[in-house]
Amino acid sequence: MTDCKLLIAGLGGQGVVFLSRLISQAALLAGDDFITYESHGMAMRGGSVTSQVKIGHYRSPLIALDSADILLVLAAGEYERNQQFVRPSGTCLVNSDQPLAGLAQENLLKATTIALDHDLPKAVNLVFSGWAAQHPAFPYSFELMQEAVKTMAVSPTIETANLKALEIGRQQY
Amino acid sequence: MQQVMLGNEAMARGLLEKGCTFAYAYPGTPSSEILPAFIEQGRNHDVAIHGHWSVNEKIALESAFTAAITGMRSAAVMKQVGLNVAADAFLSSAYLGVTGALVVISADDPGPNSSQTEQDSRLFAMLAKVPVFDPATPQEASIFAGRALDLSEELGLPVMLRPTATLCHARQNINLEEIPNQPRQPEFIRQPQRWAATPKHRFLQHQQLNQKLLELAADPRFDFAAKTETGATAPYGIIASGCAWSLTADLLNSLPDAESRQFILYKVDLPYPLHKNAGRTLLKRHEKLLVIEESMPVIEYQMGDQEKICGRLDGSIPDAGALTPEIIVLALNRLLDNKLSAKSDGVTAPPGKRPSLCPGCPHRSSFYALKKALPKGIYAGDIGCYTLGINLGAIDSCLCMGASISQAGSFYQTFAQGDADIPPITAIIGDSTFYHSGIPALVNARWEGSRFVLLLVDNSTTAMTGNQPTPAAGLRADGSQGPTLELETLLKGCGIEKITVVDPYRQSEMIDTIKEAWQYAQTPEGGIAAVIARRGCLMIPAERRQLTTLQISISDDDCTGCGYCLKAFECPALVVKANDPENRVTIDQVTCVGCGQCLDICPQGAIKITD
Repeated sequence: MTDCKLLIAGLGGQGVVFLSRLISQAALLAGDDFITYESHGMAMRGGSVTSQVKIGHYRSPLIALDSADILLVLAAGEYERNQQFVRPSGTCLVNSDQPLAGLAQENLLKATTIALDHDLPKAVNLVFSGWAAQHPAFPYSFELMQEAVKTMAVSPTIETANLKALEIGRQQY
Repeated sequence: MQQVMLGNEAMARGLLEKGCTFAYAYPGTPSSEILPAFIEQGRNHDVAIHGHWSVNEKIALESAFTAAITGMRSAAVMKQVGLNVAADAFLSSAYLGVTGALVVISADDPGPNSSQTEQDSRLFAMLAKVPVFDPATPQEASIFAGRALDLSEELGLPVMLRPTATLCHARQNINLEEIPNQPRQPEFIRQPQRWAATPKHRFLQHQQLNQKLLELAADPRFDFAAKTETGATAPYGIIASGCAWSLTADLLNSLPDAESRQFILYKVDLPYPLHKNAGRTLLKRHEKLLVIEESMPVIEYQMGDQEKICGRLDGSIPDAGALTPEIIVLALNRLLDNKLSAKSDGVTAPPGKRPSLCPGCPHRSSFYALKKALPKGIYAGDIGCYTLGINLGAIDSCLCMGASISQAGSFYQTFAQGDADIPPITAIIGDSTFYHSGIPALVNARWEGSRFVLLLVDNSTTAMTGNQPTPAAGLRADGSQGPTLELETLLKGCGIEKITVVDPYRQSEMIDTIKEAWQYAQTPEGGIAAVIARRGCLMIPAERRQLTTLQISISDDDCTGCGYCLKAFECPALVVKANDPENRVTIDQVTCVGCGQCLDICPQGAIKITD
């Protein structure tokens, strides 16, 4: 039984919600209990979006200050306001082309640039998660994330594209 | 069998598992996903159900109520401010009661995240004298949806299920039960003294309702003090319901034993009517009681001795805003003289990026044209994506659904009484909001003789809440095709004689149309001139496919970094270049949809089609 609190941050339209659904699906496949929360409505119109994922025996999806095990950031500008939720020994993984103060280079991935180079502009979140899934702090294996992608795909075309993006991310680690 | 479900989907599932076959809703965050999930899951299980997007919440509740007085099980689904619209039907339905079951799901939005108010639907239930369940997790919401149906049929009363946004949009692994396929036959027993009760009978019904609530408040199933482990003692008792309970439960579990042992947490499933013994028992058992609930002190109002109780009324919990773990830590720390180890510093985050209209949104072009056509006007706004026109300086007011038209009318009447010139007045309303509550307002404004431009921003959908269909195209919630009802026909029916349809992507034509509309409104035979700005929402895939796309770029040589485009147009694809000392603007090619609407706005002409 995994116990892990993840906070995912980004901007509306980047696929923050999809990423949290993917991790939830992985949790379901692993037989773990989980509860997640995502912003909807007005916040989705290009504004700041966060999704909270708590794996284990939790009742509330909300993550307290200083308690997240992992912070995944899809838009570098969202890092600063969310880092206070990470516990002191927690992990922050950020999609950023620029260095970020207080973060080692190995915690950064130019996921947007990489996705664009591969002509996958809408799959930044998957490239990023393929990479993040290699990190020791990530709750599930890359293979389980692949399974989750397959379970969630609504068409074979989408499945192939999403698996490809995930694999491109994996190769970056 | 388990499935990942959104809280809203779990509630739909719970309704179906307990034989609910009718659901009526009007979309509104955070409730919008309940009705589609009800229809989809019902269809997947081959159950004969009827789910419909009603034109507004009042109609949804009246329809669900009527199904429930023919012996069927039904649900009316809305967000908390929708319950205000449905209030008349809601309060009356409690007196009349039901013969089947009626569950009113009213989803609250503490924060607020996407609403006008932070009102607590449980307090509304108390006003209406309707029992209310407050679920704590998506899994429990599924179970409580069924309990609410059962209790409704048992008591012959409507019952409310009140989730909050945190639950509606939480996802969890949900246990699935069978969905029965045992259709009931509708039966309407004619009882005019009940279903069309006169004031004399209403008084008797009120007495019967009170009696049922008294009995419910003594029902051992809801005695929350009795359910907790006996023998355990602690100086402090915490009473919580719904998501406030789950937040508190997680927080207590994260504390060291020595700290968490100071508290016993009691869970209230039914905050109204509050069990009559529970409060008394707990007041004897503990030195102090802390009540944690969202978003108003509904349980607290019903407790007796205020000296021993802390919560929202004594300021232990703030009286506005959504609950956070930190707020609860602060409240616990007040009881323990700051001896808790958990962190309770306020969240000191810089503000996040504000929401804005999507790239290519036709509303942005409409607002740009409106500002150009009537720059010194009053812009009476309404509720929908286009409320975001406030970012563009093109929305001056927003009261509630449909108010743009009443407000535009009244702005005209007040200025007409004054001596100064009447400023150009525009009501901006979306198609779905117009169907919801704009029509009576328009009939009224026309009757009253008001003069303004009615700018109907028609994107052929209810965009803000996830593109639910409107009556215009006639498509229904279950995908079937009904009769179409054009806005033009409706406007004519409301007595509007000047109606112009324009494509907001044709900016200069739209500017001229709006100017002309205001001129017409001021003529003796004028009044209200309608401009329908018609172009589909680009979030609809078919609309997106039809878009002729252009490759747009900004020339570094021509851009002066003046920022006019960012302020006047605020498209997410227009971004300031990173590390550019002149703050020049560039096109974010990932975000840009290639609509080309920004081409003419740059004073320097720096925005161009890429060769």
